Amino acid sequence: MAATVLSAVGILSLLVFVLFSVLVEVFRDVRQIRDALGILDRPLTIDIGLAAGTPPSSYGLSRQLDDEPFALLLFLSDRCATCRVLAASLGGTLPAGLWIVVEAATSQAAAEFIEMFRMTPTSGDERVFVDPAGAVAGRLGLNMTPVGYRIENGVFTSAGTVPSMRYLASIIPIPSEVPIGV
Amino acid sequence: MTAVGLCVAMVMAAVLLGAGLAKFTNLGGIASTLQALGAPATWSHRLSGLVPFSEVLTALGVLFAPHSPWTLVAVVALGGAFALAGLVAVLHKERIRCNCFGSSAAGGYLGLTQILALPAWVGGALILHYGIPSPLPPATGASLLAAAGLAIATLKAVALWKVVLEARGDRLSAEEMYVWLPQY
Repeated sequence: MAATVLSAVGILSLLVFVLFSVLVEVFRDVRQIRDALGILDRPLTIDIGLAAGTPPSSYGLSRQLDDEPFALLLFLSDRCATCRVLAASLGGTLPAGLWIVVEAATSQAAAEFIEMFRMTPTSGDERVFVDPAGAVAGRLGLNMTPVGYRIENGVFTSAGTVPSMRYLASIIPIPSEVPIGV
Repeated sequence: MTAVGLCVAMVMAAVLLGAGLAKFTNLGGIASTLQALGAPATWSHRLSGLVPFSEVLTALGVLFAPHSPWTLVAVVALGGAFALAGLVAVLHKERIRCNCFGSSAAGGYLGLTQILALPAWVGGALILHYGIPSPLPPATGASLLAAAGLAIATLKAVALWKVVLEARGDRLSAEEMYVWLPQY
C-alpha cells in the first residue's frame, strides 16, 4: 500500500514537472513574440542635432544641470498616458540623477500634474521643472514624450524615448536606493 | 554505505529524470544536437526520442533496481555517451548546444563539462554497486521516486515563478508601449 501511494506521488510529481516545463516554454515563446513585435522595452533614439555638446542652461533649464557629471532629464507631458505611468512609478521620490521637465499647456495644468504625482520640489532639491507652453521643448526641437536626455559632464550627449517603467529604471544614471515600482 | 548508496541513487535518478523529461519537451533541440555531432538528419530525428527515453529508463532502474548490473552498465554507458559527445565538440572545436536539460538550459554547450562528469557517473555506479548490493524493497524504491520527483518538480516551480515575474514585467511594459505607440 505504501509503495503504491509513494509511487503515485512520484508519478504525479513527474507529471507536474513536465507541465511546469511546458509552461516555462510557453512564457518564453510569448516573450519572443513580444520582442519580435517590438513592444518589449524598445526605445527609439532621438537625434538631438545641435543640442549635442551644449549645456542645458542654454535652453532655459537650471544651471545646476551644467554642473552634473551624469544626469537623466526626463520630459513628461500631462497629456501623455505613458508619462503618467512613469510619474506614478516614481512614488513621489526622485532617484538621484533623475531630473524632470513637465510639459503642459498652462502653468496650472503643470502644477496639477506635479501635485497629482507628488513631485512638488522640496527645499534644496529642485529637480522638477515646469515648461508651460513647451518653450524649452521647442528650443530643443522636441515634439514627443516621454523622452530622456542624457547629460554627461554638464552637456547633452544623447536622447531617447522612455517607453516603460522598467526601461526608465534601467537608464537612471546613478544607482538609487529608492526603488521604482515595476 | 547503504545510506550513501540511497542518497546517490536519489540524486542520480533526479538528474536523469529531470534531464530526460525536459528533453521530451524539446525533441527538436536534441535532434539538432545529434545532427551537429554528425548524425544524419533522418537518424537524428529518430534517435532524438531515444536519448530521453534511455535516461528515464535508467533513472527508474537506479530507483527500483540499483543492484542490477544492467542498471550500472546503463549509467556508465550514458555517462560515456555524454562524455563522447563533449569530446567530439572539443575536438571539432565547435559550439554545439547541449540541450541537456531541454531548452531551459539553452545557454549550455557540449564540451569539457560532459568529459569531466564521466568520473562522477562511474563513481556513482560504483557506489550503487557496493552500497546497495541486494534488491531494495519496493517501498524504498517508491520513496526514492517520490523524493526525486518532488525535488525536480520544486526546482521547476522555482524556474516557473521567475519566468512568471518576468512575463508580468513584459506585460506591463507592453501595455505602456501600446498606449504610447499610436501617438507617434
